[in-house]
Amino acid sequence: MGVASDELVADACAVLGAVDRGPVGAVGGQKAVRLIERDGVSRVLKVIAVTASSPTILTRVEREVQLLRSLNNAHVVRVTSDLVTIGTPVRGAAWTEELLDGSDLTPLLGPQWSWADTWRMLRDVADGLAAAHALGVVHRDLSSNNVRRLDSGDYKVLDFSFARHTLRSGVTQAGQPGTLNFLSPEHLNAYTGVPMPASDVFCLGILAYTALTGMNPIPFAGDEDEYFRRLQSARLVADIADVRPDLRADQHDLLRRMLHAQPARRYLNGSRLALALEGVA
Amino acid sequence: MSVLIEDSPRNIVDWICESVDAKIASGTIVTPWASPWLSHPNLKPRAVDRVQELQGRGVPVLFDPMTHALQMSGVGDFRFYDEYDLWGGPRGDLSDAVLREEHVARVFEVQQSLAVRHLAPTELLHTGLSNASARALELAREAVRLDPKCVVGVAGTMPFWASGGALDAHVGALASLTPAEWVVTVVHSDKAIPPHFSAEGAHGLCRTVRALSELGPVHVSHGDFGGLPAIAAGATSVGSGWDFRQRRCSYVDYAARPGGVGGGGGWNHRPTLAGLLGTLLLNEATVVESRDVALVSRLGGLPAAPAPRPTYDHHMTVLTAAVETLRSESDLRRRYELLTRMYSAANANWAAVRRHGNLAAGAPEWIEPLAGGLALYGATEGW
Repeated sequence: MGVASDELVADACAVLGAVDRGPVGAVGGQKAVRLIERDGVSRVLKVIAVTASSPTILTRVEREVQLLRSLNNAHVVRVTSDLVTIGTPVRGAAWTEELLDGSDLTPLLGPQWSWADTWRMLRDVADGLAAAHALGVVHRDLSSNNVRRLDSGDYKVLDFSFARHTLRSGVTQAGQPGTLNFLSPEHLNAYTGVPMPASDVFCLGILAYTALTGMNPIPFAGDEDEYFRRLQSARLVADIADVRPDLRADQHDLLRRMLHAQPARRYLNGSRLALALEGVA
Repeated sequence: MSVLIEDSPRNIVDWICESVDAKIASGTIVTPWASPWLSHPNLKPRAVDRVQELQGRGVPVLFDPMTHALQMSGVGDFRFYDEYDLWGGPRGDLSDAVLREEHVARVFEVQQSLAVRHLAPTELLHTGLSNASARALELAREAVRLDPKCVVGVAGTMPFWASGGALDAHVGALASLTPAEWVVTVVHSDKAIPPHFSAEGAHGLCRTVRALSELGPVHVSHGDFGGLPAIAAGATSVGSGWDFRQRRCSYVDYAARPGGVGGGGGWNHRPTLAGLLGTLLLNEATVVESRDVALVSRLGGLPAAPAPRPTYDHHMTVLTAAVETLRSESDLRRRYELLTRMYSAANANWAAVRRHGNLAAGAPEWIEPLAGGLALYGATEGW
């Protein structure tokens, strides 16, 4: 795996005609995230290091950047450039996204959210997922770091699908990228069982359960084997009705269905979830 | 729909039509393994003519390409199959996307020429996640791309149905394609009657059907009594018929015929008893009836005569009644509880029959694996 070095970032800025204003978030690894200015507008620059062994990865990232650039949805971060490659042979690739205000969900989880607040998050994220699923794009790494609450109170989904290619997140036993505490049972699979739209629904269920209860429903406690066993059967720490008896039965049922062990028993994609949410406001 | 008559090389169209008229069947399935594409003297009419006749007499027809039979060990009865133009490359070669797309397109062309709906081909699976499952998913994806309202098939041996989370994940991937209807097939590597089930396999079948039936009707191909747990889990219909090959999907029925002869299908002459949810051997039924006619009567009675047609009619009547009794419960938990009671009663009835002599197969074969799978399904549902 290559490293998205400062030199690679500088080359990306040169290719894109952008001015680097410094890192955004953590520094290091295969992917760099920087604040830039381009044509007088502040953007987020994402740069990934590409190794000689990953030309097919580059092709797929390029295709998905193009797909997401064509996606104009209020609840998905907007991609503002095509994918550009850096070097000959290619050493890296980069693209830009809109700069968002607000905060990701990680620091907001802990206190129990109201149903109304959780519902709004679910509605916005389901809408964003629905738009991507319609294009055949699965997020695959929907975690609290990849959903942002804007100052307006709206939510946006970040880093659609790129995790799979950039290996920014941890990799499960089956080789599927994702973030511990926010995996679906399908993250443990290979072949046809790999993350699918219903897996994004499961991961959003984890976010909603965590928001409502202050507890992760399938927490990673340090032992991967033990965690994966619970994850495979979607064994939750507690039924939502036991932790939030104040919620209605249809609200409990919605959460249970999102977190069902069988993907075919869940809402199959963001669109079906969004439809179901209309009935449980 | 409750019972569909599976295909057989035997040319007895009247039985099908009369069964549908009598409401002990609701349609039939034609396959390239048992119906010729070309005309032959002294054989069944070619598929186009047969399907036209059936449809003309008001019988709903599906054409199942049963591509999954090609992966059965020992497959070799291609006497009718090779008359169909189903492959762009070598028969059974699904190794690349072009070949898969060509196969799906040709299957659909045959179905269009028969004026039946599109039922996608699938590959036989032995576990939920494998290279084969990837090919099966690609076949389904291509079929749905060509016709979003097509019927998609899932076919696997017992290890596939018992493969737990891998099965669920594969079914989830198929479900994401959202076809209109489903055909699921439990394929048996041996020729046992009743077909061998494991409780885990029956549980997997129930879980799968429970999930898919929320998305569309599910037919349990060749299911017969072994399909009752699936009916409890939400399936719409099971397959059956007069031959052994119609009541279970077994490798033996697609194997090469010694010397190229035989292989008609094998009359299933065993009398069915409603209270047993199964069949006895003919001599077993004779002995029990001679010793305890009241018991036989209490179990629903025997066919009017020990001949093929009454035996078939009786079986279809009993099976259809069982399916419709379960389906009359719209609530799936109550269906599950009803079948649990039916299995409990059948267990006791098998014990009563066994008191009159040894049996080739009894409750341990007919009831216990299915009841075990049903119980596991109930536990999974929290019942």
